[in-house]
Amino acid sequence: MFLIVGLVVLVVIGAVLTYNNLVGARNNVENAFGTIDVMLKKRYDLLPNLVEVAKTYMKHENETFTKLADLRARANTATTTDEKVAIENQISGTVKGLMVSVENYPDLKASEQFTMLQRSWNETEEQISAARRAYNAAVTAYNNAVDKFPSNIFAGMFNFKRKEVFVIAETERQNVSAKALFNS
Amino acid sequence: MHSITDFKSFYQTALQPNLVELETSRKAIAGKIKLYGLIGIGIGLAFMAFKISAWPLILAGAGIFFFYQYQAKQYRHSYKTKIVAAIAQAHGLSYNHLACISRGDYDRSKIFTTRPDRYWGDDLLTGTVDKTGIRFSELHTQYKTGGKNKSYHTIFRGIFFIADFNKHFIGETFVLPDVSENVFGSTLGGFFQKMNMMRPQLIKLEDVEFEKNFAIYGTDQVEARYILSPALMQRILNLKRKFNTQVALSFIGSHVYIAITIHKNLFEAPWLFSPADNYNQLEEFHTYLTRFVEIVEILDLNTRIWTKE
Repeated sequence: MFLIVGLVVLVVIGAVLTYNNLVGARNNVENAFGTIDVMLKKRYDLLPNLVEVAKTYMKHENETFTKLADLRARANTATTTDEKVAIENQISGTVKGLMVSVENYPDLKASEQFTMLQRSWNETEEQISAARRAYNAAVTAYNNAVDKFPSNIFAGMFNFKRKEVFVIAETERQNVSAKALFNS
Repeated sequence: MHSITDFKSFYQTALQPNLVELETSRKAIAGKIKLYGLIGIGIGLAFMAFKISAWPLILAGAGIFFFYQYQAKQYRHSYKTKIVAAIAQAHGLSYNHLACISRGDYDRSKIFTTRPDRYWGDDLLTGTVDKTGIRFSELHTQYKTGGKNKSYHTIFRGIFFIADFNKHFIGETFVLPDVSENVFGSTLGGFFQKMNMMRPQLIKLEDVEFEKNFAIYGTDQVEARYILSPALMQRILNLKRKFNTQVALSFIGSHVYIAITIHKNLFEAPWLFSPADNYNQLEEFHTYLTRFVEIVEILDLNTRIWTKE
């Protein structure tokens, strides 16, 4: 009798722990996703300043500035995550190109204000990438919990589904080719 | 001064004149000790032979011992201030053979959680490599066990290295040798890593080789990844390969602390009864100093493209 009660208690405790573990993992994923948003917001706030300073020196990059302003506006209205990611990637790529053409403007390069903005930009870029990596780690931990025995039983029962990790866009993975940028 | 050829010419032009001088005084001291030793022991033995007393022999022995100790200390001092300091200076470092990394710095690094009962070190080297300030010294820390028949056990022995880090951060991040995963395998070892109460959260990084070598803990998942970029992980692995020994790091309060285990007393003078001019030993000092200064380069600490200048 005691044995049966004991077994039942053990199973219940096990179930509670496994379920809580799943919920914890899912919350970690959400939290990590939130962090990416915070970092993106930071970069988003930085963009107008960067453009403002660069504009005064770079006379031949108007096209790029218009493109950035346009992208920023679109990022504001984007609703789906995929759309957001695509726009953010484009912003990233465009500014990278802009940073390369800075070489053509010695005055701008020498400007202290611009150097500081450039450093801030690099910093947020690095932070965004760190946030993405943290998100991917959280997703992997969550997916492991969803797939592995015995928690996969509960995952099925309570509808915990696998989540996708962030894949870095192909264009972003390639190194920025200076030649291609000058030709375009 | 990186290459061995550079060092050889430096040795010939800058070190050898000093070494010749040092050798002359060393020979004189060694001769004196031998002479006094012979006389003292001779007299002592004479007293013994005539069965007068054993005391003169004991006193002579003690006297010579203390005389040797004193002279050896003097010799070490002049060797370090003339020779080792000159090599350090050639590497752009200033050298103080009596000082070491402070207990405060050691504690702040939080690399070792055991409180040391014995703490000593010497050979403090400080300098700036381009934009990065560095300081390091030999350190040996031990803890005590047992009440009556107490014994001491080493916590850390080697070079403790501190450098400015090139990124801003607020929290604490630790990169420690992966002991439990090596002993218990990845599943059980991973469990023990997670259960480590002395450390903040466990951080799982995507670099498999890095994870195999180190256990990473940090107060902030994102910040730890901001510090440990994929490039830096590779660089830390390179550092470990280069020294081929246990390496532990912590990132706290705008500094990177690195504990490199080395079971050897570095930057010491040769024995008083052997020649002062030992080229191989001097070259070894040079090689070690080159490696320590190179840490800045290996970890790319002079790249200041972030807001920290």
